[in-house]
Amino acid sequence: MGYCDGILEKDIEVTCEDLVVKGIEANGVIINRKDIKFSEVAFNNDNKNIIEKLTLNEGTKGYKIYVPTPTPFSGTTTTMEEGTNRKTFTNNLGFVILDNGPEVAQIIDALATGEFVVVYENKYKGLQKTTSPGAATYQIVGYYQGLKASTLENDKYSDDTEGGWNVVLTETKVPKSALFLYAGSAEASTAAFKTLLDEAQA
Amino acid sequence: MTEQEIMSLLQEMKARSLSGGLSSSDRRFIEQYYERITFRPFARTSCGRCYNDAFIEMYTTLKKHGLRPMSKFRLCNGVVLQSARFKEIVTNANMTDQIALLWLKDNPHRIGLFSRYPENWKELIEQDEPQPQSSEETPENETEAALQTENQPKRVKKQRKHINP
Repeated sequence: MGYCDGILEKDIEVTCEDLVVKGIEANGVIINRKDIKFSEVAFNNDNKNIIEKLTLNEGTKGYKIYVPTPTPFSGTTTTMEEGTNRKTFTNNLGFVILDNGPEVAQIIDALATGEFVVVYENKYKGLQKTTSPGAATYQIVGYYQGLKASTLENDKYSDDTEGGWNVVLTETKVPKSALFLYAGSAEASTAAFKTLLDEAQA
Repeated sequence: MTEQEIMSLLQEMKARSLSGGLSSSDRRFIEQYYERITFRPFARTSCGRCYNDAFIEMYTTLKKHGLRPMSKFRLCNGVVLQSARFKEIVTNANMTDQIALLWLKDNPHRIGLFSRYPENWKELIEQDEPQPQSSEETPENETEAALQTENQPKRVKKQRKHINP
């Protein structure tokens, strides 16, 4: 047996009942990567691209990212990279902060130096699929290596940011193409997504 | 403050909330009682709509569920309890001591998913044995009912054959 033999075990086909659509919803959650309680993160037994529980440390919480633009999180991509021993993936997460000022500057300073995990909601949710309906809804980036700022830009005359900030966070050398937050059902996954924002209690 | 007193105050605030005119004492009341009613801490903010939204949440939660006893258990953020063995999905919003002990008795390792729990939780699991139910009693929640139904021995009625003389 070789190193992680990439054996294809499923057909590559289109689900005609639930065709994929592009885009990401306007609300996401950003978490300081050090606040993830890795010992209690639960992966699905059958599919290691699914996290069933994304547990946070006691006294910590995630923070909302709200991008009220026609194309929220535009610039969010995943691409394969050649590596020395294996192929890996690079995740880019792009968003604009339509705001400026000292409080925003504090956020930008934190983004500049920190490592983050972001959970965002795809417009394509796969709710009509017969197996694991809704599993495609919430996607996680930054889990393996942490998202770090690769672009933090404030152009006073940019039409895209209108005086706000353009942010791109990047995670490199990721062993998995994608990770999804799926707590067993669409309803439970939505509840899990919302609880990431609950106020922290020590 | 009793449930009726809280509901009466919320009823008074309703008109002010609809017209967008919550007073500073209304806001203090919301900050004080939001967690008591919804089981989630209130985030103080300068957001204009947030107090109105919090009021609506308090009002509908209190109307739907009444004033529930606060649980000594609290899940870590991001955690939702779901299992094929239990009917209900459990979050901090519907957590009670009974539900927490039920899940921990099923698998004590789940304690790692809680950010707050009493120190004597192991003793509480051992003490919390299901009481024999009379036919008139109804379980407090579906989760308990599901597990108790599962544990009850099934009775098979033997049908008597009628023998024609």
